[in-house]
Amino acid sequence: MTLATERLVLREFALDDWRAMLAIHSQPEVVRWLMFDVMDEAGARAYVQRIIDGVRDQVVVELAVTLPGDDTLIGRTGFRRGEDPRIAELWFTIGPAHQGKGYAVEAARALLGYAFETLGLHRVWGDCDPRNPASAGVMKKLGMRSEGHLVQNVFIKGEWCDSLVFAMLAEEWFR
Amino acid sequence: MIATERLVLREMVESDWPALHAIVSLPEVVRYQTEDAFDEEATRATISLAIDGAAAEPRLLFDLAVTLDGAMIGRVGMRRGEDVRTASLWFEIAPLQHGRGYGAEAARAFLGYAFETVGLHRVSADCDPRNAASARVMEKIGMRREAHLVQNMFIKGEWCDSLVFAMLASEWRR
Repeated sequence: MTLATERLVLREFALDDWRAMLAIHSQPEVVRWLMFDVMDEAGARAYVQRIIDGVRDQVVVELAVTLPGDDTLIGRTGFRRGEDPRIAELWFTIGPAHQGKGYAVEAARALLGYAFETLGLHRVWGDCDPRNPASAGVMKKLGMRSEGHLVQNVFIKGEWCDSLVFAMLAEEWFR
Repeated sequence: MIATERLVLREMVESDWPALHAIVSLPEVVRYQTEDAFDEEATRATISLAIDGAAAEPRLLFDLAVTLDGAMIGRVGMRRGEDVRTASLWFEIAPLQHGRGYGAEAARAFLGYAFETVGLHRVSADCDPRNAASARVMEKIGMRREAHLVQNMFIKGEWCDSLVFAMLASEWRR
């Protein structure tokens, strides 16, 4: 599957993407608010393999974000379907070299469209640490509603962290 | 065993099944829960899970009988999460015993057990916003309302919302 937006091309992951994944996710500022720590080569290879396997079983859909005319991965956006497969959790990451241009919103919006229009999902949600306003800003720009603030609900990188929860329903997407 | 002013919370035993069944076979009790009204088999399975849960090490499932003068009038319990320092709480009181504060009394005592004895960091609970009685109990025992998730569960043929409540160990001790 490939999704084209005004400025981006979202494509399936290929095994070779581990190099670009490593370049982005070996930077501490990129993974600061993610569940995992900085990646090494083995971690980057394993991550790409997992995405490829996940896409195959349709539980995880994750696409590489690229610029037209250059196949290099500059970020990623994906979702994982839940126990109820009509519900999915969304995420997105753009490498620091390409941040501040609205690419995360553009990529995630295309994926939301795929989730609601092609797969017919009912609800897509996402969460972020309140100390990560850039991520919250992307979800707000996508039109996701703020649903709550969970206090110290996840233990990440040695500390209890809060979660802001955002969500969108199909009826809100189509409105 | 946990004793409160009026109640005793204790581990479930197999002979609890008729008393538990009298509660969980009522449609009004399970109206806002993921399960349908229990048949006998489901009730027996619930007790088996509770007994197995009590024996497991580490213990992840707690499902206690709430008793009044020796008779089971409800249940209170929790399941620990992926991070075992967190858990989700539930409680259920027989409709005939509603309106007397037993739900709050049992849940409050159980929260104390979760924080002080088990040593949890966070206990959360959720309910359908249409289940005002359940939300009231959570507020009464001092849980904070954290979120209103819209149409996040498909239960009994319809999309339902969830109100999420939580308390941290630091809030319990305050």
